[in-house]
Amino acid sequence: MKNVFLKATILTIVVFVIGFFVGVFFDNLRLEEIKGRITEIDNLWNDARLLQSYIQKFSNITPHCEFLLDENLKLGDRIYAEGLRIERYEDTNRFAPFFDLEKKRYALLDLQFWINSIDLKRLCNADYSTVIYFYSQYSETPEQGFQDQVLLDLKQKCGPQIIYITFPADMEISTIEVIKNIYKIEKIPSILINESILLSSPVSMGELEKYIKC
Amino acid sequence: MDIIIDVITLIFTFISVYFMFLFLLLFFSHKKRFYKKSSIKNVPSVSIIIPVYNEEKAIEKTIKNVKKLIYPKKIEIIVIDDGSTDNTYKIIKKIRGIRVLTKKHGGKAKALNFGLKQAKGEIVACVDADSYPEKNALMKTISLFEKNVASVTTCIFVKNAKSLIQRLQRIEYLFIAWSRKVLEYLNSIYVTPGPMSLYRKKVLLKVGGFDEKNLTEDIEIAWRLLKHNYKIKMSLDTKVYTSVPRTLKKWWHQRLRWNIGGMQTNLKYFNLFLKKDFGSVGMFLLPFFSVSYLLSILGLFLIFYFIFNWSYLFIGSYTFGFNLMGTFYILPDIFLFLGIFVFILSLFYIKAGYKTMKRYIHFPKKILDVLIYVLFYFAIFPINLIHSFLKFLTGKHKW
Repeated sequence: MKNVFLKATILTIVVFVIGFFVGVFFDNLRLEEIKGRITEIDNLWNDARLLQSYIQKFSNITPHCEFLLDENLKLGDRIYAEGLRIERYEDTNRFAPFFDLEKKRYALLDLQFWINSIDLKRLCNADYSTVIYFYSQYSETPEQGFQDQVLLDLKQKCGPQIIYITFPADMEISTIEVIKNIYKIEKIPSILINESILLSSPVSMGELEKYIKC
Repeated sequence: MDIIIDVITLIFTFISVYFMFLFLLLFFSHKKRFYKKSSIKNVPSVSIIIPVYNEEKAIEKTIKNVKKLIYPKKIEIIVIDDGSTDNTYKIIKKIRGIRVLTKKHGGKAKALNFGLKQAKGEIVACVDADSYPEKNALMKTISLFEKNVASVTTCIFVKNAKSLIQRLQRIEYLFIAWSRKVLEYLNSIYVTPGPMSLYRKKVLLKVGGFDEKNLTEDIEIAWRLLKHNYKIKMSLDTKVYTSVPRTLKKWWHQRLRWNIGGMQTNLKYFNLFLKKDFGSVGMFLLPFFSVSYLLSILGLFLIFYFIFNWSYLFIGSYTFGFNLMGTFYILPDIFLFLGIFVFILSLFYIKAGYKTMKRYIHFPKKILDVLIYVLFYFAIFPINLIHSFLKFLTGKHKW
């Protein structure tokens, strides 16, 4: 009879060991995928930046504005989609939760993209809105969870009408620290709209729509 | 909090998978013997004890039914009126061919012990006043009294299941019978059910009879017999029909009693935990029930956690105006793998039970009942268990 208990124990352990390896396999798969995708965006970003620099240096930017704005918004959408993917992968991963490095790379990309978007908006006199979301990477509150969802829905609703960028406010990225000082961001999460309006979270969809053209 | 939930989920899953494997292994290695018939070698004398308290509506039918039992020897039928305040005594007094004893009201266990002392048979069959064994019940069960077997239990069926709660109990009783048969192969049948169970009188007297303080004397006596290294068998093809609670309120009250009785028994024998010399009580039943209680509480905690989270999200989506569906997504990970595995294993488990009991199940007419049983009936148990536990701790429990 002892045999039955032993068999049941062995079978259960085998199932859990397989479960562990399946978990590790999928976690690593996601991690590698994210690394590849960020590298890809990095290339796209470099391409877009070089194009803009080239046009600014050797030609008049005004005739190219429509094209540049279009490309910038496409890149913005791509960065947003990848950000969403990273968040979901990070929430799911149990055995390979080493997303800090990737998140920093992603945040730096976001920063560069934001600065470029400000430039382009000024040079081309564009009318899209920028929504910058400062959130906490390490202490997620339910309030932040709600705000994440509201902003994701806003982006889905407005599409290319807004550029939505997220910054982890507590990842010790010096540029983000400087931006926080400039805009006097003390409370996290906070939302910065069009580099001028600062809202402290939680902000409802209805309230956000008052400030954003969508 | 996420890590705590992950750990609780893993513990919950590990224990569930382990016990499902254990039951399935036992089933597959013994299934051919489940309905094995054997003939009676010796014909022991049999006494049937029916304790009765305020059962004027059912008792006449029960006695008539018991009198029809087929057996090569004359059966002694003892009906003990436990101080009924209705017409029970008048009714049973008129019936011929039975021994009627009366005593001051003192509870079922006391009535059974009283009858036990009066019984002349080598085997005593205890039958509830609202239960109806089939004609061949004695022939089928007596043959299982091999050497060292102290008790034989029967397959209990729900009589006249009309309300939903009765129909759900009908399904439940089938699975209980199946699991009891499986547990026979670990010599761990933890209850000798009241509707009809048979005992060797000599053994019953030797171990001290039924515990008069326990709310579920049928659980306690089973543990005591196992503790003394006796065997308990299950006769899967012996049908006994019984009445079950008709309303949720009565059902709840009955389960409180069962749970509290189970807790009393667990506590009584807890000093035998993991001790080898006391049969399966120390090495299987106590760990099994301790883990079952833990599992129920963990399961309830997880259910409440998820309900709280979803409610919170729902309120948040309403207040802040975001789309609730956007928060749900599933990606492959260890929990998804284990979830799918547990689901498949559960199907095997249900299939094994169904395969054994299919002669008594009428599909697909009752498929809706099965769905309600699986989705909702199970979920009530942990809540009832918590209620029972609180009552047990505060000492507010009685028959």
